Amino acid sequence: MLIITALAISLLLVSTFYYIFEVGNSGDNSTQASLNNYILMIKLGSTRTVLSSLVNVTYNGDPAVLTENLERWKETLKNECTFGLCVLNTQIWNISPYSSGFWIDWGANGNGVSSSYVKFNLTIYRREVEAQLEYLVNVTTSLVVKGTYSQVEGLEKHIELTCEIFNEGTPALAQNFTVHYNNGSSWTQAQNYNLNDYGNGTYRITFNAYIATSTVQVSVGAHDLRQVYVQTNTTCTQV
Amino acid sequence: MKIQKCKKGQIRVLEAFFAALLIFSSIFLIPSATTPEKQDLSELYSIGMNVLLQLDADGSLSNFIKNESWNDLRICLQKMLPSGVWFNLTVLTTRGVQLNNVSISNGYPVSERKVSVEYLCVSSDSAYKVYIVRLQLARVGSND
Repeated sequence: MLIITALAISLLLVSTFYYIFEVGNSGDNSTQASLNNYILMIKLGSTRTVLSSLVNVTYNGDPAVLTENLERWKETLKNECTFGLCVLNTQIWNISPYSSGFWIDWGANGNGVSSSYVKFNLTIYRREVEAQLEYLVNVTTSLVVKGTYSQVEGLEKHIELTCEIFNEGTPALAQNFTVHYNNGSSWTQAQNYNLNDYGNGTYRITFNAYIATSTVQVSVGAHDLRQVYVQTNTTCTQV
Repeated sequence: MKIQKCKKGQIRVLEAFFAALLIFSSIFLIPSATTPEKQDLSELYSIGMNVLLQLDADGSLSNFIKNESWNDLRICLQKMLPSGVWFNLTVLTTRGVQLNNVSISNGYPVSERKVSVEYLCVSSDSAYKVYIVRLQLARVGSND
């Protein structure tokens, strides 16, 4: 009789203990690793959202696209979160030189910048707060152009440009260069230019052009491999 | 007489204590027996998530989806996932419309014990798109 009582009590204790063990087990290392991977996915998605908006704006898109895309990303995350409830808050950077999250400066000083900056705040709730983190997404493509020219004959000039392209300050590869020069009265596209790719984010562009003035102004535009467009103008110095 | 009764009680308490200990120790073996199954599934989940993260990091995943290169995506998954793992991938829009019109799988499932990884893939094109990528995984050779 006593053994049966002991058995019953033991079963009661064990079942309680087992339940607590199982509940506690839900926050074990494997779940934590999965959660970490899920957060990586969210951060990657956030970066892509900002990048997509920047690509759109550099293709003459409306800057409001950033707000729209961020709203869509937040909504998707809220509906599809497999780790409970994911709440993503965003703050579009409005501190100078950024305006509405963008800094597009395609100036005449040989430095061109296409950039977007957003601050994210992610909270994942389950039974309680599982994760809370703040992260910044900065997508910046910059182009630095330096140019020289030498007189060939008459109005013909030989122009040499050195272009460097950067992604978030790190040398990056570019594609689809477009080169224009000011021939004294209007901007003309340089059709037959030679392009040397040094493979380290530095490119050398050479071409000949008939320019009436002694001031040689050029404009270079390029896309990085993420499709972000950037351009800048510069005045070449005579050598 | 009274002393004798007390001693009998003490023995009973000891007996009950040992019985409880025996039951405790046998039942504690149950969780350790079930843990490998759970570990295997969470390991599969981790593998699937890592493969998708890797594919997405350089933009390949969204390019495969954008270009509808379902066969290339299948080959890529086959190379990246360890052998002995069955997979089936489905690409959906955020409205739940399936985009892949062909099966992206390496065969028929041989196990009932599958794990499903849901991944949100964002396209970085100027036309903003979010895809829901659902990757089902199972061990080939599992008898369940």
